[in-house]
Amino acid sequence: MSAKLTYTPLWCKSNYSFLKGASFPEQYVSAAAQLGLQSIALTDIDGIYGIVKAHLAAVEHNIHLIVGSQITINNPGLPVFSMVLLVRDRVGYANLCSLITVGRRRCEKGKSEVTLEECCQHSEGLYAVWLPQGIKAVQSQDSTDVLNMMRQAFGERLFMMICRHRQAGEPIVETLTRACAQRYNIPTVAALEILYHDRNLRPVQDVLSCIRKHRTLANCQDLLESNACHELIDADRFQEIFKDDPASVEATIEIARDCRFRMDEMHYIYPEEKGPDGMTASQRLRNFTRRGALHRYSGNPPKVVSNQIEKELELIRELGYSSYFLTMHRIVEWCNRQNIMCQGRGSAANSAVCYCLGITHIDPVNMNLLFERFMSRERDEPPDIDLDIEHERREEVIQYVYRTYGRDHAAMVAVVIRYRSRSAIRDIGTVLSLPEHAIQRLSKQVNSYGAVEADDFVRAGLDPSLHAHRLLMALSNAIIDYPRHLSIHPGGFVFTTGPICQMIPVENATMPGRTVIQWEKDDIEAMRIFKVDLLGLGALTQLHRCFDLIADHRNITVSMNSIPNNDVQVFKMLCKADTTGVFQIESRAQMSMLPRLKPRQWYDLVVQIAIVRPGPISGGMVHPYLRRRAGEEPVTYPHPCLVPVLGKTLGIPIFQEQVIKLAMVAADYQPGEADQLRRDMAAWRRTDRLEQHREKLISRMTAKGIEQKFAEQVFNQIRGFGEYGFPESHSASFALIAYAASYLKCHYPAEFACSLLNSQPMGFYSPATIVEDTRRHGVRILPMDVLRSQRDCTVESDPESAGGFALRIGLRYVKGINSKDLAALASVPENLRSIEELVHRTGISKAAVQKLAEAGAFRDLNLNRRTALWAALGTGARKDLIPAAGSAIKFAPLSAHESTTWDYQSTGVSSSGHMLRHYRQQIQAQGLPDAAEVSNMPDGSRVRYVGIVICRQRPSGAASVVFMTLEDETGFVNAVFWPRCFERYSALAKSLSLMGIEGTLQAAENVVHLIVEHVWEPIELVMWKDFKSRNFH
Amino acid sequence: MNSTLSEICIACVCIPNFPMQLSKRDLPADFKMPIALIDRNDSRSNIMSVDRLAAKQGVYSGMSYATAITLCPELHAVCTHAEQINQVHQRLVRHLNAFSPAVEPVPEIPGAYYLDIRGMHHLEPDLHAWGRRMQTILYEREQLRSSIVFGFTRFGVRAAAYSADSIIVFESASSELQAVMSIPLTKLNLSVRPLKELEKLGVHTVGDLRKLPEWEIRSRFTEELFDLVRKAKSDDATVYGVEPPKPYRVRTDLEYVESDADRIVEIIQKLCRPVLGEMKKHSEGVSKFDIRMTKDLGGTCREQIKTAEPTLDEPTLLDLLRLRLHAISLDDGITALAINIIPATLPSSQLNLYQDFAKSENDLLAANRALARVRAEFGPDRVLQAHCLASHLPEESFEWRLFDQIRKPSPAEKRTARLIRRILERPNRISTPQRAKLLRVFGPYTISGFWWRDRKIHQNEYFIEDSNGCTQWIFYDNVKRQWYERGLVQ
Repeated sequence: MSAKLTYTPLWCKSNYSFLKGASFPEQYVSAAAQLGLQSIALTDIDGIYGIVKAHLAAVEHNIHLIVGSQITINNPGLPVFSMVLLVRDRVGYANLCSLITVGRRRCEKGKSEVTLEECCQHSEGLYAVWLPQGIKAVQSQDSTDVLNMMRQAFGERLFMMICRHRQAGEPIVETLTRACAQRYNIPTVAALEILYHDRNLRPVQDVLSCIRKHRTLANCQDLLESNACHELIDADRFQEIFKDDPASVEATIEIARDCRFRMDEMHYIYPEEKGPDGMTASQRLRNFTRRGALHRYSGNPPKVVSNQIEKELELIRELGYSSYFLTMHRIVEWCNRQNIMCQGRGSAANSAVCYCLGITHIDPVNMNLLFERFMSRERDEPPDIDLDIEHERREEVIQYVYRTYGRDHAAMVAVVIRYRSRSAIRDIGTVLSLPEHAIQRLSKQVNSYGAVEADDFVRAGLDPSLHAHRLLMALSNAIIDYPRHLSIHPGGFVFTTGPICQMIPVENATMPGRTVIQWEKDDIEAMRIFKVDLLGLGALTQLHRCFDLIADHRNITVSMNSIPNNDVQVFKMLCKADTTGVFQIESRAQMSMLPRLKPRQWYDLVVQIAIVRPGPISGGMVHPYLRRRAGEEPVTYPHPCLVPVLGKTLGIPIFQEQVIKLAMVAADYQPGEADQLRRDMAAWRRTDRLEQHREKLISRMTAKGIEQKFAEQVFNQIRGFGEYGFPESHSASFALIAYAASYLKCHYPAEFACSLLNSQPMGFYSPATIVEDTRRHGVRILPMDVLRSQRDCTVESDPESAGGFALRIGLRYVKGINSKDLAALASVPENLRSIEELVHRTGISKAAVQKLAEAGAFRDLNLNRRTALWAALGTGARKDLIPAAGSAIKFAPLSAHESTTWDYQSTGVSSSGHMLRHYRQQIQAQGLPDAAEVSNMPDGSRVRYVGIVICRQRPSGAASVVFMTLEDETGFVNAVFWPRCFERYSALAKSLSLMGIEGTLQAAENVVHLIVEHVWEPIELVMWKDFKSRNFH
Repeated sequence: MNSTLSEICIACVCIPNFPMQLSKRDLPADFKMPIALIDRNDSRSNIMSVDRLAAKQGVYSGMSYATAITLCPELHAVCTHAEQINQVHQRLVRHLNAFSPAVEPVPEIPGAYYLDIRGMHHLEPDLHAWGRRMQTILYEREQLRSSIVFGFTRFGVRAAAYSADSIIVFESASSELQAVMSIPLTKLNLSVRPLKELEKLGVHTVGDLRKLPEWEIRSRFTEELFDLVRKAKSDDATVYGVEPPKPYRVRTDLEYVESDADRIVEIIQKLCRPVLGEMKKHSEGVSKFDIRMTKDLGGTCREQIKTAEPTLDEPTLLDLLRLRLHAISLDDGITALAINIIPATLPSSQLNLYQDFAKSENDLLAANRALARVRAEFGPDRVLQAHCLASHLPEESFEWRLFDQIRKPSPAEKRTARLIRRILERPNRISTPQRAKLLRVFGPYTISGFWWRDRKIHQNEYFIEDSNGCTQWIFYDNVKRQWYERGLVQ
């Protein structure tokens, strides 16, 4: 019996070539396995973006994966062409990654070019296959030098490719290729350019080509392949195509046989953090930890802490992670020296070592946090430490990391931006030449995370049965999740011992000074590469600014460590949900929870932050917890074994690690099973793997004597957590910041507001709402003025204000003024007399003067806004056009409400008070209450109210209920729109800034909601359109 | 007759929201969705105007389309094209010419026209009735609603017409001024930016604007606004009509029935000679002859002859005339000739009637003249050129375009000799080729795809060489399951 004929596809481009191939890498591997092929090469363009995914699939299907890439060559004097490079061994892999890095780093993002010389320099361990399209390159000039150079570098590993896609021009190219191969004694290899694993994906391939070149199908014939001969085929068909050239087919097998490199061979070693003293990393870590423990525990760490530290250090040493912790320690220490606030978040807060090293600020021993949630021997996964850094100074830290470790050893992790339904509709619609307005209308109707459906077309007023619309729907759905382009991870860094470019290709990011690897987070994890997350957090910037303001103006040093733990005033404020601007607990949902949860101590805030999440809400845990906390329900446990697990949260699971622990204790999950459960929870949206735990969990729990009902409930809770749940350590880290922010808001309202305004954009509310809230807290808001304001908002001593300080709006709030003009305004002389003088002395632009005039920033020059605006419009004018003499023109001064409107329009905030203040009389005359009055009305009251919409939300788990927050000068009113009501008034509800609502009040436990039944437009009060709300988070 | 009526000298006819009216006119009568007119058909389009339904949903002009559809998902966008507007504009001018000989489009407002109505009171004492007739004609012929204002100044009637929705007749210049002073600036089709700035200054009406010193405005705002202020202060009432280049017209009634082409050419020569002299004085040349010939047995025939370039060269012109007239049948006999000679500015080289054009073999002008002669002899659409198109389908890989002029070639590279493929206008059905009879077969080359079209394509192309050395280009249509001949290879 003759041996089964086979071959190896050597030129396959996946959709990780970004808008080139039409199949996922995994699909190629699985299709190759189905076709009976033993090996396959993945050769994406100028990169190995999808290689890890292909590798994982290859392991699963037991297929030999050849790592390769199609490299773009731009040699002086030759036309641009491509060559396929295939990895033979580990050295070849390093060379391929380095070569790609060379090409990518010299070009702007998205492009790559290398020279043939560079290819030759990186030839060791690589096969080079000269593509048919490159034959022109060796025809256009004397090819002897070029091919001799290649022969010399690659030796017998240089091949010329013969391709047969049944295209009319191919025979000529093949003749030329064969002639060239013969002349230079280069062997040929047969291949097809594989662009999809299944020919049904041909239309997808066509549209991706159009998207890549920004063309439509109607005018892109030169871009598209002429037929569908680019699919992955079996050996028989391949042999049939090349039946006259068996040697070239055999060459594919020979190459595959010689390409022995597997991605598993890539052993990642975290770079050793060497000290000057010659100590090992683990010794240094031990020293730093001990020193930190003495500092944290005032020179006397309790025994339990020491034991925990020892346990952790031993595990860290055993797993070889010491250097990783030292890196984090080094970064944190540097931040401290540079006075940059930072704090570890996430599971790192479960580690006593992290606490002692100053990476986190939660005492995990004291809080009884589960270290295994962070690291465990069984899990054998690299630890993942996320560090929050002041968002405005994060770039300093990033550049420090680059400086310290070098760009050769540190790079940022990539994020692959993938198609979602809206982006797919936009791109496919354009390719199909559909009218832009129809595309936009449709894209507004679809669910971002779902598929495009016929109903979406109907809602957009489009006929889903039209041929073009059917194509749009099918193709848009087909490309959902396809890679669109590469972006940069918010803060993920990888470090390597050797040059990083020998492990993963590195390329330029769009942002100057950033370099990024070609793999994303999941790839990093799969290859067991350590990642450090340096994340920006606005709240830390705000706290830092606030501490500085207090020190500058009051000469008091306040810091995270000096804030008293249990300030009664702070908790009183929290119980009243007076938390506008406070990190994590300022949202409408959090504010609604605070009066019910009534936090009395810091740990209550930890619960508060974690409980208002989809996990606990959809798991039905909120109300039982609140009832138990209020003493309305006894604290019971379904089984005594659960007391240690759920004791802190009154028998109700609130935190993610409780759910895991619950499975271990109540259902006897082994650590490995528990870890699998954690992974399946995280992947809940994408898979149904969580369902596999259902039977196991419930049966084991009932076997242990736990009621079936409770067991079912536990499973539902687990499912809820899958959607989104907070770990206790994470919540605790955030609670620290939330408490500090609450303390500052309570005791230093002007400084708190000032720092918040200067740290924008951040948080939940617009600057206007923050300013109004500050005013309601008794702080005077001083107007912007070129002679008094600085770039940022400032505080000024003011005995009439609460806390003794008033808030002055900074010039940065003038809309449309650029940073250059803002900087120039810093030099405004105190004795400034006129606008002309301002322009003369600072050189600011006419546009900037105009904006300042509109913002009322020339008050101290005794110019009303219109007069100032007229003068501003006249700056820089041709003097020869203006007659010398002219009587001054008098403009009508603005009315009070016009002034406020101008404030909002030109700065987004107003020092003159809330807009509705000017209309209060009229509103009262209609018998309508203000927000303060509404909040004091009894439950069930019928209410008609007029306010400004500051926020519209439609939470995903709220069954299409829309929540709005309306504001007036006295406070907020929370409005709830049931779907029918919202549907009925959708045009008004979506568009009105000033809204009239009528409905029934729901008031309980100081939480007030207005259930809206009727919406109207208070036409008599409509006076502006630019007041923006924050819509649909 | 009212004494002031005789002083009314100008009218302004305005099609309010002209582009929107045009767009709505093309929609079905029962179309009930809100409509917005957008400025361009792409993702960054802005809304230029909206209908009542859209306005009710909170959509307003100036808003971006992306924002608008968030408010009003069923919003239907329309976009008018300059060509469409221009076509309607031409017709509107013709309709209005029936009411006044001088019709001038208002430069800054599409769909608005000044009419010179001096002396019209003798013909039509009731201006309201006259205006209604105009409105009726415009509505019946173009389905466009209009407002009409009769008054005393260009600015006055234009401002009032743009903001009115009916017929207004100002009885006196002072009443016009008074009315105009209170017209909001938003009604004057001003650009958004100066309008917003004026609004901020509290300048809302024409009256407010007139109070500002002209020169101060010029130094602060756009020339457009400065111009507007000057116009607002002007009492100009002149209507400047617009006309295309006026053709020279000659005609003659023949004393006998003529059917000989050469003799007709001689008649035309005699008729045109004085005109050519006149044209020379104005540095004009003939760009086109538009000849209308009355046939003896009734009816007319019309021939247009275009020159290669504006010329006064008589032999060239006669040659073209001769070629054209010889190419058509004159058997019915001609009894009258009316000729429109369309002028165009003469190139300076053409002023010399007796230039020696035959300077070299490759004289481009001579070549273009030759093509003009071909057109004259065989018809204006008979000179074509093949243009390559990017398509895998051979029949779609080129197209024929009217060939206007030969230009100096600039070959990018020297090409080696290639085989020539000749394609049949339509593929011929053929029987299945017999391989045994063939010397060589090249192919198949597969062309498939075009999945976005109504009809999918899947063809296998072959070049087959027979024993005589002839190469035929054939294909098998996999959809129709049929062999076809596509062409030959030479």
